[in-house]
Amino acid sequence: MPKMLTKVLKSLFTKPATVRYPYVKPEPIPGTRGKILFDMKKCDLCQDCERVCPSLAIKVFPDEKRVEYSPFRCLYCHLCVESCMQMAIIPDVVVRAPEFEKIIDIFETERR
Amino acid sequence: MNESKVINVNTIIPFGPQHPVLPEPVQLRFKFEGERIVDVVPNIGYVHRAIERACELNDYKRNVTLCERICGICNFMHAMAYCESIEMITDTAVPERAKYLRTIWSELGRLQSHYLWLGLFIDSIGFESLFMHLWRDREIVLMLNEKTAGHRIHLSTCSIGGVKKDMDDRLIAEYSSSLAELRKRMDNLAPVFIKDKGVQARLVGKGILPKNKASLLGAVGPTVRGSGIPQDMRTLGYEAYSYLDFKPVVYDMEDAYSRMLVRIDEIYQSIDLINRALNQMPNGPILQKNTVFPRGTAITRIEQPRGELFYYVAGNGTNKLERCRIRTPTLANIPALVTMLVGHEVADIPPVLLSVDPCVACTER
Amino acid sequence: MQEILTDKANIFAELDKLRAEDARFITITVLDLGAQLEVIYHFEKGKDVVNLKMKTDKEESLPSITGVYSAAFIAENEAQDLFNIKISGLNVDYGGRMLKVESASATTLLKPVVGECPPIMRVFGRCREKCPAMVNAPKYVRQIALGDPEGAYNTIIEQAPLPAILGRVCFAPCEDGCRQDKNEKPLQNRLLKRYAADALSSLKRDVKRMEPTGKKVAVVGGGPSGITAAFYLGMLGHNVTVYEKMERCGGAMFAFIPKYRLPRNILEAEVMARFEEAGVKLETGVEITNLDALFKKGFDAIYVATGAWKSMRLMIEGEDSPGVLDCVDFLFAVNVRNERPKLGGRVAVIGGGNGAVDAARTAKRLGSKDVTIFYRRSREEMPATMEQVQAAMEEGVSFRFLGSPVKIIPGKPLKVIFQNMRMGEPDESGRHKFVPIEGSEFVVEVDTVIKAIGQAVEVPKDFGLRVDKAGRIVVNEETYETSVQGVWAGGDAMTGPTSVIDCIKDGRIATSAIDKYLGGKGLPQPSIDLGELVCKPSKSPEILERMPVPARVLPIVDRIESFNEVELGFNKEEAAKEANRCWRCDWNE
Repeated sequence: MPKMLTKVLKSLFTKPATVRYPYVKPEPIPGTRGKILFDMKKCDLCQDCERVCPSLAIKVFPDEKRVEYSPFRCLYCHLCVESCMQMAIIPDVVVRAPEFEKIIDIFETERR
Repeated sequence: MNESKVINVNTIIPFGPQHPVLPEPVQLRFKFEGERIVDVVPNIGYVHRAIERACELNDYKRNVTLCERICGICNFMHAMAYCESIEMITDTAVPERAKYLRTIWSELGRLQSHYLWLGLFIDSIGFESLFMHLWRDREIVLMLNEKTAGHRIHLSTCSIGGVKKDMDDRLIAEYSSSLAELRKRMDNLAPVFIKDKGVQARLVGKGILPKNKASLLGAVGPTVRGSGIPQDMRTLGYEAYSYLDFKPVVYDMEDAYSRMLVRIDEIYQSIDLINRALNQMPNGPILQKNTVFPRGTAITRIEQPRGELFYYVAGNGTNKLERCRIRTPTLANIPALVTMLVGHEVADIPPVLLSVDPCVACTER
Repeated sequence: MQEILTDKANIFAELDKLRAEDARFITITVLDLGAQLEVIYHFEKGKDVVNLKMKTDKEESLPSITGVYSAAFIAENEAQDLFNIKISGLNVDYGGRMLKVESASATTLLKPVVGECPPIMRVFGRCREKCPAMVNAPKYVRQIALGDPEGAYNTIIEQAPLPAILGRVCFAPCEDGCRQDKNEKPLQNRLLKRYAADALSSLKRDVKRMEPTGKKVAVVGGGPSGITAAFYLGMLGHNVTVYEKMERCGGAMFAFIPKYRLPRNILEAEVMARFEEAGVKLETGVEITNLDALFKKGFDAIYVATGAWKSMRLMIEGEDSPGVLDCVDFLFAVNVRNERPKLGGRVAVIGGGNGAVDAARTAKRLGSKDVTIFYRRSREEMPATMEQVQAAMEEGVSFRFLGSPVKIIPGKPLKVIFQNMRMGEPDESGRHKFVPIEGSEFVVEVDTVIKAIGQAVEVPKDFGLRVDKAGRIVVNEETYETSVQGVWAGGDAMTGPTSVIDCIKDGRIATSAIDKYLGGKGLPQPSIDLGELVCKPSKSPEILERMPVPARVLPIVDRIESFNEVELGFNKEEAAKEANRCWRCDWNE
C-alpha cells in the first residue's frame, strides 16, 4: 500500500498519458493502414483485387468499366494494395470517417 | 417475539452475458445455497459466427485473414497456427528469418495479452488506479505493433510460407529501447501487487484446482501451470523456440494467486525471449511461396497466452479445404472452471473467473 | 501423429488403454463422408497427438465418453449441435442450449455465410481469350520458362497445328490482350512460339492416332484451314485425303506470304510433319471441279477450303494498261514460279493491307529504288499490322496517305492521277467516311503500278453451293455446314480474306462438326486443370523482369539484298528471360 501511494503522488505531477483528441490530433505513423483510392488511369479491370479481398468490399464490372468500393465493409488489411500488378491502388494513413448512411465509392474509367 | 428461522433456499442466479463485472459474454447459472455456490451450469453461444464453416467455403489462402479475426487479443497466433498447418500439408519450408520474426511477434502478442489481463484482473478486485497504469504500459506494445505493420492490433503479416514484412535496423533498435522501458516500469509495479496485503487477502486460497484433477479435467495454459504441472506447448519446439533456451514457468500453490504469479513471470520471460531472438536473428529471405493445393491432414498445437491452441486441417486437393477444426484454450478450461467455483461465495466469482482468463470470442468462433 | 482405427464395440477398451497411459483429452472433430460420418477423438500422450478414428452411420447415436473422460462434455455438446449427431448418455446434458442455429437447411449444418459466394477464379488468361483458336498461351509460356520446348510445342498443337509458321506470320491478337501493355511492352508470345518450334531437332513428333473409324473425308484446298481440318480429322481416326491445285501445299501461306517472312523449307517441313503424324494423303496438282464425283469415289464428307484468289478491280479508267500489275499475279509469280519480274525504278502500290506491304517490300528486293504505298484513308485506319508497316519503313518504303486513284494514263512512264481525300463525318457505327476534296488532284509518274486492294472469293459453279452477294459460301453459323448435305466450308472461302489463325479456328469448328456427323464426339473443349505445371512464382518486383527482351533481326542494310529471313528469333536464354516476364493472370495466386 505505501508503495502505491508514492506512485499515485508522483503521477499527480507528471504529464497525462492521454491525448486530448479531437482538440489535439496525434501524428499518424507512416505505414499505418488506412483507406484506399483507385487510380483509374492505371487500372485495367483485371479483378485481382476483387478475388483477394477477404470481405468482398471491391466489386469490378469489366463490361461497364466501373469499380465499386464500399469503405464500410473494408477491413483495411491492404491485401489489395499488394496484389495489384499495375500499382493502381493508393493507400492512405487515415481511416474513413463514419457516416449516417452506407456509402459506396464508384470509380469509372474511359479507356478500354 | 421473533423467532428467526434459517431457511435454506436454493436459488438459481444467472450471471448473464451482460454484467458490469463480467468481461466476456458467457452465461453462468449459479445454484446457491445461502451464499455458497453449489453448482454451476455454463452456457456459451452468444457470439457464434460459424467461422469453421466459412473456412470450408472460402479459398484456402483467404482463410489466413479469416482465422486472424477469430480473436482480437491473440490474433497473430491463430494466423500462425493455420499457416503452419498448411505448410505441414504442402511441405513448404519456412526460411529461418521468417521463423524468428514469427516468434518475436507471437511473444509481442503474449505481452500485450498478459498486460490486458492483469489490468482487468486487478480491476475486478477494485484496484482501479493500477489498472490504468498497466494499460498505459500496454500502449508501448501497441505502438510497436503500429510501427511494424500498420495496425495496433491486427498485424496481418503472417502468410503461408513465411511473413510479409521485414524489420530493418532502425526498427530493431526501437524494439530494444521500448522493451527496456517496459522492463523498468514492470520492475516498479510488480512488487505492488505481489506483496500487497489487500491483494493477497483476496486471492490466496481462492479457486483451488488440485494437481491430480488438473490434467484429468483437460485444463491448459497458466491455469494448469499454476497447479504444479509443467505443461507448455512451446517445449515442442515449433518456429524458433528450439533455438532459444526455453523452460516453462511453474508455481504450485494451486490458487488464483499463483496463476497471477505465473503470468507476471511470463511477462519477464517474453521480454527476455524477444531480446534473445533479436540478437540471434539471421539474414535471409522471408517468404517461400507455396505452389500446390493442400491434400492431406495436419495437426498443429501452439501456446497462446491462455493455453494450448489446437488446429486440425484437412485438405482434399482443390482450393477449398475439407475441414478446419479449431479448439481454443478457453473451451478446454471450462470444465476446470466449473470445478473451481464450487464452494465459494458470491464476491469471489469475478477474481476466480478471471484467473482462468476467458476469451469467449475464441471459444465461440 | 499416431492413428488408431476403432469401431463402436471396441471404443471403450481403447479409451481405457489411453487413460492408463495418462493421455489427455483435447477435442472431437467430425468429417462428413456422404453417407457416413467419421468421428475423430484427439488425445495427447506425452508430446505426441493420438487420433482415435471411428466411422458411423448418420442416423445412429454415439455413446458418450464422459464416463471415462469427464472433461469431454463441452466438446460433445458442441459436436451434437454442429453436426446433428446424437450422443447418448452424456454425463452433463444441457438440453441443446449450447449453440443455437436457426434456418439451417438439411444439407448445410450451420447458417450460411452472409454475403455473396466468393468469385470464381479466372479460367483463361486474357491472352488466351483473344486468340481465335484458344491456344493455351499461359501454359506454353510457363513451359518455355521451365526449359521444356517440347512440352510447349505439344501444348500449342492441341489447339493450332502449325506453331513454326504461326511464330512467324501470326498477327498475334494474344499480345493485344496482354495486361502488361499499359506500362511496358506486352509479352512477345509469337517469338516464344517460334522458339518452341526452332529448338526442336525434328518437327515430327511421336504421337498416336485414335482407332481408325473407316470413314473417308476429302479436303478440297491445302491452305491453313484445310491443313488444320485434315490434321485433326486424321488424329481422330478418319481417313483423309487433301486435294491441292498447286504443286505444293500451303495455300495463301505459300503464294502470298513472302519468303523473307516465312522460309519455304520450314513451311514444307511442318506441313509434311503434321500430315505424316495424322496419316493424311496429299494429292497435289489436282483441281476439283465437281463435288459429286468425290462422293462417288466413296468419300463420306467433304470440307471445302479453297480460299480467296480473285483480285478486286479498282474500277477506274486505264486499269488494264500495260505496267499495271495485280498483287495476286505479282506475288504468285515471285513466290510460286520463282520469277523476278522487272519493275523499273519507281513503283506505286495502291492499297493498305498486309498484301500491299508485302508487295512493296518484295518490289524493293527486286531492285526498285523508289517504292511508295498510296492509301486512301489515314494511318490509323490502315488494316496492315504495326510491325509490318514499321518494317517497311525501315527498308525505305514511303507512305502517302489520303490519296485515292482516279485515272491511269498509259505510256512510258505511267501517269497516275490521285485525288486528295479528307475525313468526313462519322456514320452511325462511328466510323468516319472519307470524302474527296474537289479540285485537288496530283499526278505521280511511275514505272509500275501494283494494285493491292484485296481479294474476292470465287467458288466454281459446279460445286452447287449457295453463295452470297460477295461470292462467299453461305454456311450454318454453328456447324459450318453448307447448303449441300455432307459438305462443310470454312476459311477464306467462307469469311473473305482473313488471317492464318482465323482460318485455323474455322478448321477446328468444321472438324468437330464433321466428326459428330460421322459418329464421333468432336474435339474437346478448351479447359483448365487445377494444380498443373507448377512454376517459380514471380509476382514480387525484385524478380520480375519489366523490360522486354529485344528480338534480333537482320541489319537493315542486309535486308533488301536478298529474300533471307528478316527476324532471327530467340535463343535459349533470351526465351527463358522473356517467358519469365509473364504475370500468370490465369494462375490464381
